[in-house]
Amino acid sequence: MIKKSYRFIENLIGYIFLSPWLFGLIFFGLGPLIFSIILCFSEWDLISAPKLIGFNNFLSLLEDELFWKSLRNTLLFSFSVPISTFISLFFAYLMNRPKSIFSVLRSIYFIPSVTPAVANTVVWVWLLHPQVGIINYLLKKFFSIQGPNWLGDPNWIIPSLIIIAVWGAIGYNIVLFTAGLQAIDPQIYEAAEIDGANKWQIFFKITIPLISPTTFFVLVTSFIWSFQVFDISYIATNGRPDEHSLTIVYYLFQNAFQYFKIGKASAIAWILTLIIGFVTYIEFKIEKKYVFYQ
Amino acid sequence: MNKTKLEGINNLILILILFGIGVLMLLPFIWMFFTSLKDWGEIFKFPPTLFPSKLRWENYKELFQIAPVIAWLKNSLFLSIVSTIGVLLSSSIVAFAFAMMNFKGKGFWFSILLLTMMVPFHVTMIPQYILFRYLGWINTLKPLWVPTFTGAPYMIFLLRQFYRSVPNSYFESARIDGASFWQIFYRIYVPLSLPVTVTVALLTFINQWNYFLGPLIYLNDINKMTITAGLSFLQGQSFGYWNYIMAGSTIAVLPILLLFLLTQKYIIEGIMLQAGLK
Repeated sequence: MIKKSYRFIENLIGYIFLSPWLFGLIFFGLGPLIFSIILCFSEWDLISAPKLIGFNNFLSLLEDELFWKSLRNTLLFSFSVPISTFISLFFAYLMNRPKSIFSVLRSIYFIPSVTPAVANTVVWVWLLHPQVGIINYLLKKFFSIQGPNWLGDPNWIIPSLIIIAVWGAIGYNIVLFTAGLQAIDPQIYEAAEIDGANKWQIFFKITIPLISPTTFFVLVTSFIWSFQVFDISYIATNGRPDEHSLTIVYYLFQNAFQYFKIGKASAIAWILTLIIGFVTYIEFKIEKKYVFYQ
Repeated sequence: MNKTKLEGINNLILILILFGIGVLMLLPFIWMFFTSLKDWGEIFKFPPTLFPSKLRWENYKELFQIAPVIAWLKNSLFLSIVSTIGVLLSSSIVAFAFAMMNFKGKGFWFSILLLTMMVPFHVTMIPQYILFRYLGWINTLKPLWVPTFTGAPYMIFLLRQFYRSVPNSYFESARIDGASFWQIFYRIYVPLSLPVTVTVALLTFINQWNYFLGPLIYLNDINKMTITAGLSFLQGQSFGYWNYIMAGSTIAVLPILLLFLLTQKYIIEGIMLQAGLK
């Protein structure tokens, strides 16, 4: 009897402790999620009555040239992920030494990851100014290269966004890789050195395989992030992207909050979710083959 | 002996190279700050000068006159502080329930929590907007901070992991002594988890300070904006006045930069924790 009422009280208290989150789940999480499923099959401008239109939002998106362009631009932008992953692993490896100067260096590299992306990008717009920007000036002075019109050139806008994103991501990924590198048992390195392996062999045959779980984590989270890029593209285009710079979340934002095509925007949101889910699924498939757990 | 000497020199060269690249990484901020002190003529001078020929601090004063930067800072500060309080209060209580208590359906709710961590924000963004519009919260900061009081899934997860790593004997002996769950949480687990709590607080504060999409959607009135939305607004309005825009960027960056320099140990360790959670 006592035991039973005790169980009841623990259940009750458990749910009381959980209640803030349960409340949020209903109103800001699952509720909106279900509502969003209904919305993507509807047509609604927030003013007149919403009406169900079946798969029409999805069908019209298939023929929507801007949608495909935004998809293409976002995929091109995601090349920033392998670039920043590679650079970060390289630097993390070089900085993975016990001296405290190296943790100072890691902090310096980390700064662009912690400052607001909006401010960072505003600064980069100024750095990449075609006439008086410091980047084109330095290119001219030290390499005698006439720099491109970066953000103003259809061919250079996505590479410019990639440069800004990589610069902002390196420090963050270095920290993640450092955590992975420090988890590797030093005895393995010692054994390899005794066996006469050189530095390059150690890096490629020992560090790379043993760090692969971290590499995998960095790749998965970075890809998810890169498909949702918004701040950088918004600021870099001054809120006026064209077909060469429009990204998926930007197109979603335009449709939802500028044109009030709520149904269409919701359909874009779900397509993006499916793409992210699919890419993550593929990554986990690849993981089984290449990622090595100690 | 010779070998260690050679290694020492190698190390020094490596440090110098890495330091040089580090300066390049920070060059945008250095350039930002110096541009913010130049006068109108000097920003378009060619070839560009790194140091302003005259430090023009008036740029900041004039920026405060042409744009409500003080209001933006106040709004950002309010949003970040209130959100941090909200996330800490709710997430730690919820995490404690998930970590230490036994109640029916715990496994089910925990898998829902993991699921919500995976659902991209942009899916719930539109229905949330409709909800907050219905509540009349457009053009207020409420849509940005009220949800933080229901906990942040990721932070709940982080705190739960920490609570579970506390030796169980603390919990059991307190139970035997007749302490209530609330007392165990409040008197034992909260003080014990101070470092991870500081990390959660810092990450929340920084995330909210840097947040752009939400403020952009919900805040239209120029006086209601946060510093990120305001900076974007400023960029759209002041064509060519790069000294003012860079002054605005400096103001947006500086609080976070100072916070990071003072608390970097907690922030870096918090990021490292994430790598350990994979």
